[in-house]
Amino acid sequence: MAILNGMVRQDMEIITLIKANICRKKGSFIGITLLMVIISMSLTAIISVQDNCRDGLKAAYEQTDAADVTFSIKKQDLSADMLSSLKEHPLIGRIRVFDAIQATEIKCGGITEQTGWELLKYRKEFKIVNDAMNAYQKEPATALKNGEIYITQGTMTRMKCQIGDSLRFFISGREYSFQVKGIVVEPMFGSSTIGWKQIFINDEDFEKLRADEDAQKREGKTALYSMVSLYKAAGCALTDGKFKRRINLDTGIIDRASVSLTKEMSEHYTNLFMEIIFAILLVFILFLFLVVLITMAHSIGVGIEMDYTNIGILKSQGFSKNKIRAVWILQYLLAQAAGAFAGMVLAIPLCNVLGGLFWPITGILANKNISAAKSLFLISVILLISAFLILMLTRKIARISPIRAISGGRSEIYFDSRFQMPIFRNWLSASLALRQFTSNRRKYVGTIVIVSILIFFMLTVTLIGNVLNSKTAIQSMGGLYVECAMDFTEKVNDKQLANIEKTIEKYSKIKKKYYLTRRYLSVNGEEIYCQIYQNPEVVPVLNGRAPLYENEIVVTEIIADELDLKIGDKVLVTHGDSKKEFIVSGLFQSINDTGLTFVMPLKGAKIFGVESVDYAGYSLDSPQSSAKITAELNNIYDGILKAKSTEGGGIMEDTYTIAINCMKAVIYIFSVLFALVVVVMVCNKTFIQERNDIGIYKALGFTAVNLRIQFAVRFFVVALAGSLLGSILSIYFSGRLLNTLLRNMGITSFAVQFTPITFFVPIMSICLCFLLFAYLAARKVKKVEARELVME
Amino acid sequence: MKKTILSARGLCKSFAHNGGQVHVLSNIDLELFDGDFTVVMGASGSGKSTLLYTLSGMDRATSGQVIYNEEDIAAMEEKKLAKLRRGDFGFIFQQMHLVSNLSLYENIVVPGWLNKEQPSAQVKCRAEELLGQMGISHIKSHLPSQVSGGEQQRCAIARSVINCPRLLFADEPTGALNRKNTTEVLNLLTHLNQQGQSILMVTHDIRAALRATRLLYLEDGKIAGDMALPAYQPEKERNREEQVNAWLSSMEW
Repeated sequence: MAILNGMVRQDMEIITLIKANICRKKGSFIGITLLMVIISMSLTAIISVQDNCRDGLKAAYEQTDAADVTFSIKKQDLSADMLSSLKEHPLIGRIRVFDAIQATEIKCGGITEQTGWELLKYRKEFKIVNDAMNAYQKEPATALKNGEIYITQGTMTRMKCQIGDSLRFFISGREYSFQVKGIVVEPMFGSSTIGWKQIFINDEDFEKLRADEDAQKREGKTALYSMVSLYKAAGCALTDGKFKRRINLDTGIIDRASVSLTKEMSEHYTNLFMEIIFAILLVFILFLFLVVLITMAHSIGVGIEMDYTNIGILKSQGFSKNKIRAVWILQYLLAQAAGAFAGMVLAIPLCNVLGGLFWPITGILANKNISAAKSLFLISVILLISAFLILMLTRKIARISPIRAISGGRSEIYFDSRFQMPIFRNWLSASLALRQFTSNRRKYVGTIVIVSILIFFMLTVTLIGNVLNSKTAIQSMGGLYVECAMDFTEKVNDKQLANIEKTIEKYSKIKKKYYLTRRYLSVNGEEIYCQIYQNPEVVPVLNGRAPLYENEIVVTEIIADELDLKIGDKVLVTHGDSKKEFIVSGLFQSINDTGLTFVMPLKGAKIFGVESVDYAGYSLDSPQSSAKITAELNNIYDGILKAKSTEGGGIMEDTYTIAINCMKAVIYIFSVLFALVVVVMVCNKTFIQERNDIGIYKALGFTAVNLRIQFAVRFFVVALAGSLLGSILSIYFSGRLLNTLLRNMGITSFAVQFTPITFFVPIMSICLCFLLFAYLAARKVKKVEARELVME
Repeated sequence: MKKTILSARGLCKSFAHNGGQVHVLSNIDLELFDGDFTVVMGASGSGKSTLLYTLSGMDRATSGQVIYNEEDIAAMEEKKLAKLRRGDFGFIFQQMHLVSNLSLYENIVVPGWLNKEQPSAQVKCRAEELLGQMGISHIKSHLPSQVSGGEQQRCAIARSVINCPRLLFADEPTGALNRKNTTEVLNLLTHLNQQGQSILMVTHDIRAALRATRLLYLEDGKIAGDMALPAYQPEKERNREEQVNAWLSSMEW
């Protein structure tokens, strides 16, 4: 205790100086604290929500006993021999098999979906979500009545349905209607990012559907499937992907399945969107931290110049350079630490909001915990980096000589360039503002860099937003965006396709057409989603060329990396007992199956039993006519096709658009907040530095409004210069950054679309903020008398 | 009969200090006349500079009136005061106070442009003329930091008269200069006055006081003495100095 008292007494002078400095320069410290609040709050919230979502998913896997590999196979293809060979496989620990009935189509209101839907008997391991959709139901679930179903949140998002709504299922041409009773958490296929969905019904309904199916004998066709869950044997150290590949190589069973999914891939797909959004935000926060460092560097640099005499006095009174530096380090770290702490507290409510944002996508109930340890660690790293920077920046304190400082021998602090920007009578205030900027450019370098960072990110998120609303961008990235789409229920020939085109062209020119079907095929033993095109020349390739010949395929860059392929390489594609060698003719990109996909021509797929396409999509010159077209097509080709119009619908699901717009809003709001704090801090310092000149201008007859406008114009010019730099950075690097961040989504060559509006909105937002905030920050000019300013 | 250019009635200026009030100017009545070179002298702390800044509208009076053109400057709003400084009044400061990132020429021309009374070409012409008069034409594109204190003060004088002000206020304009520069600056001011420029100057330098046509002595915030002098003639400086010294002695300076 005595030692502690001694230390306190010894360091009282430091504490006194810190207190005095904080009181004197509270504006700067409040600014630094606010910036740290934003960084700490966002960082803590993002890390916590990420952890909560990941943990929530893992807990749900455990709760539902999710398998390492799950696949759906026609019941008739899962022979007893096949099942026993699986059971005897040394890598498989256990197997669970559930009967399922596959629906070919599901409808709710105006929404129709054809992707695989499997109806299964409800099992108690799938917990029910409460009405508020924020926790599991506490009381045990009441049994499903006949005609009732449980669905996952992913189904609810895709079908835009609510509890109590009726869903119509089409099974082998028969129609059944079920009412949604509640939402269950089924983590394996439950996310809206996964196309395959499980629907849960009661045992009686299931048996009725099975009996109906059994009664309707169809040659080679069945709606009866088996959902097989494979669990690794104890000691099997293979990844889920390698495990699946090994089982497939040994048994060929995955080749026969209609769908398969590993737990690792389920986890990847479920958290994909959240991870991408958070990756972008984390990079943004990293750069915001850079902004804080630059702001702090400016504050320290100017602060030392302004405190030159005081530092000299302190030195003359026996303060060592290290003691003075310690004061500077501690005062800035205190401001940062206060901001970090406040930010962590504010992250608690933010966590709740952000967590809820991803529920419609992941379908997983996440906790609302704060990842305190991880956040504290990262904030400590931030503080350490800051301390190092302050240590570096305060080196010049050592060079201050007390005698020189006290005698006012410092060099001119507020003027560093001889660059003479002309001054014009007609634009006197503006040209004086420009002169103030050009004659002291070094002071504004930091602010310009800060603006460029903010503009870079604002432009980057604007680019993502542009793509969301751009048909051509989606198409150029391998996405299908069509206004008129149809599924063929019967095999169609070329003549029928030509007639369909004629019908469409009565209303609108066809800009682009896609004829395709999809299958899962094995490429070098890896089961991959294959898009089989009748007209493969429409596939936009990044390198090489489209697969025009029957022995050619194009793969995504992700597949090329995964399987170590390059253009010209040969691959073995297998399905069931069929196999064929193909040459990689090019690379393309696709967001289907998060980029794990390839394209082959229909003529090449015939060996795998694919005789015709089952989907056609048309991009129209006049999208508004698509409703009429689909009505006519459904009328003429009833029983052959089911056409639907997507005119007026968004390119992307609403949920995704909302999440991306939220990210855009976060980046825009934080950018404006940072602009505000930075402008106020820099303006205050500049005001103090230029107090004398302001006084002179006032004495010459400039009004306070004149001088405030000069201030505002100067910062507008600074913002404009920073915007120019940020725009150049964005033109060169936004695409690259997005390619890196969106690679998990399947995008390796982002369709960057700069338009005048892309630049205009962020640049004007920031420049006008600078103009306005600088004008407001310069209000002190008004309050000070001319004489007071001059007679310092 | 001299024409009054500026007058003060019951002018008071107080500052709050240690919970009390310090009265720097106490109930001053004063008239300044057109064409006069009025010099205010007094001991340190007598309120000389405060009087100058209060009369010029650079500072607000606590009470009383400062009448210029039948208007009370003490009650004038900021915009009007700025207009007054722009055109009717000129200022010279002890520390020159040139704008550091403007060249000498620009320092002179900017207030001319700001005033908007004269066409741009005329402002430029007058600036060149003043630069010549002040003997700083050859360094007109230099920045203030690149020239001597005397040259800076000459530039400040040129700046103060660019708009042909009716009244020029000078706060110890030679206070920061050496002997040679002091003489040069005083010669310039005398020359301006002899051309009809009204000047109100505060100084504690007797050499500066010799240039006055009217001397005011300030003591404890009140005008204790007021003496008229004939126009300055260099050859009669010795007699003038004796006269002024005698008067100042009578004021217990």
